[in-house]
Amino acid sequence: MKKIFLIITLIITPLHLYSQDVGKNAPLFSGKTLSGETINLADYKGKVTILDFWASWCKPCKEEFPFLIDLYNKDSGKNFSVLTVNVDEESENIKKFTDKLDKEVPFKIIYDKDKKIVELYITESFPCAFIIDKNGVVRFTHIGFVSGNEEKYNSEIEKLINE
Amino acid sequence: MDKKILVFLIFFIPFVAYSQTEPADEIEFDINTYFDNFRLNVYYPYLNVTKNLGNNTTINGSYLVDAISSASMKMIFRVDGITSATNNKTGGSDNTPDELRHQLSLGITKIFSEISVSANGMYSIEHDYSSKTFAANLSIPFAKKNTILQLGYAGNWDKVFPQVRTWTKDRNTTTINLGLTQILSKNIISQLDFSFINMDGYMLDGYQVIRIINGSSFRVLEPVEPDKRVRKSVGLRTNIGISKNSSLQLGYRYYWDTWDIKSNTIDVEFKTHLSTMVNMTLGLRQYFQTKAYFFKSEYLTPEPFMGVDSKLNSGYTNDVSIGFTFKGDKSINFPLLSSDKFTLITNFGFYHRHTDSPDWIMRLSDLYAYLFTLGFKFSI
Amino acid sequence: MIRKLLFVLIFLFLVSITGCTIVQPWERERLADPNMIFDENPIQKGIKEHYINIREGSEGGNGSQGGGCGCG
Repeated sequence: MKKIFLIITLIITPLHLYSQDVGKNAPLFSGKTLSGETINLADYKGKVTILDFWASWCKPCKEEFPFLIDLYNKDSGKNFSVLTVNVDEESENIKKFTDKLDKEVPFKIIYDKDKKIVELYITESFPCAFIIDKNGVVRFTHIGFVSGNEEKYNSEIEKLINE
Repeated sequence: MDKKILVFLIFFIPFVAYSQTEPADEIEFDINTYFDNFRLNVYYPYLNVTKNLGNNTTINGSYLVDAISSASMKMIFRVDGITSATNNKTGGSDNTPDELRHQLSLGITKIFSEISVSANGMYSIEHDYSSKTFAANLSIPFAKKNTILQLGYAGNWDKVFPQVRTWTKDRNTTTINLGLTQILSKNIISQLDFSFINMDGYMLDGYQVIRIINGSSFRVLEPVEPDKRVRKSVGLRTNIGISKNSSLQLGYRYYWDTWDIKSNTIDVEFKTHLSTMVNMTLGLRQYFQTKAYFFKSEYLTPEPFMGVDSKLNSGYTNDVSIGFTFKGDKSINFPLLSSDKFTLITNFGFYHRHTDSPDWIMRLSDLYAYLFTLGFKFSI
Repeated sequence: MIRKLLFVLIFLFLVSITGCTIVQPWERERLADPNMIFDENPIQKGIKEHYINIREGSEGGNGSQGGGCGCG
């Protein structure tokens, strides 16, 4: 009797197999930064772009941000760019988050207040980074961030720049 | 000897059950103390180190010392019957511990895509007891991580060789754990947990004795307990975010085993951020237990099974605790606390156990214990 | 009797959670709070169970670390 219960409950437990956006065109969008500037993803075509979704309450995001800043600064936006989208409920959390960083943020941060941009992409958790090639196609995704994985990002970007 | 029973599990299962988030790189050092009116004092310093190796792999190591002191008493075997701590062989002062237990554990956690797998090994040794443990855990998320299924296994192989006996006996334990964590809403999360424990071998305390009372005289025998025990439990707990800064955790557990012990545990925990740097936790736990079928507070004649351990007696416990964590911040002008990589942990607990008949050696029905923890955690 | 009732309650709980609304990753700010995580400090939990298990006859069913925002 107990075994039957166990089997049934395991079967009916929701099972969701998410699908990556890899190989598909990155959904286009436009959004606004906190200063009111309108940013369009379409404007990033021609460059390799890291599109990163994050939140101030996400612990790994605190580790990822300095890495993205260093990555961007090494190239200074020549061959690839970084665009981040924040999903906090309150916009002041963005400034509190960036103020705690030791470095200035050189790339754009879109504030996705209505969550319309994040809904275009399949995100399991944060941070969630999509590496988009020069033609606007999502080629790699990174769910989460752990120090030690920086080399993977570097090699993927290098590969797409050289295509 | 009771203190040794399944100690591995206590430190162990929490480590193996990490969710999909990798453990942070950190060092934690705790000083823990326990004092009770049964004259047991325990000091257990504990060191734990966690380090990420990259490639979604984390290793963990810990070292613990249990230093036990209890008031010596005249016993036929010259052993402290309360704690099974044997008298200090070197005849030290009151400040030296009666018994020392060392415990070392090593573990590894790896995340494959979304699935977390961990394995841990532990070794514990003291002069009359040794324990080896292996455990593994699998954590699988579903439905955008709204649901997490956890499966755990632990195998434990103990050797018992009391100083006052001429034998060595084995005790083997297998534990299987099944857990389901479910997000119910933006501020409610629940967890259901099943445990199955199979124990085989010598489960007694080698230093406890049974007194068979016959009028004005008595004789002393060794306790006899069944050498098999199957233990099952099911627990449900829920965390509710009751305000922006506070949460309430409610938990219930039902336990039953083949020795006829059944218990109900209710616990409530209130946690709140007193400020951005200080967090407080208040805990209350109530526990009710029936006795093992063979347990008696005293025996008039020998019986096939005889046990006098108070753990097997019916009764209840009340447990209250209060804890504070202090997260360091650059704005604080104080050593250690000025670093945001540092966290100070403090916890005070009061524990009361009432048994329906007096304890076999202390002749008290009520045990009162005080606990204190001071911990230092550093992110590395 | 109580065991059968317990199993029925657990089964109903598990069936009911299948009908739960999925909480999206960006809606998990509250759940990311350390106070909402089960056994946020597993060492402290282990220490508490250390002294409880030398005094009581029960074991297990205490759950494991879990919850949070699921951020990786």
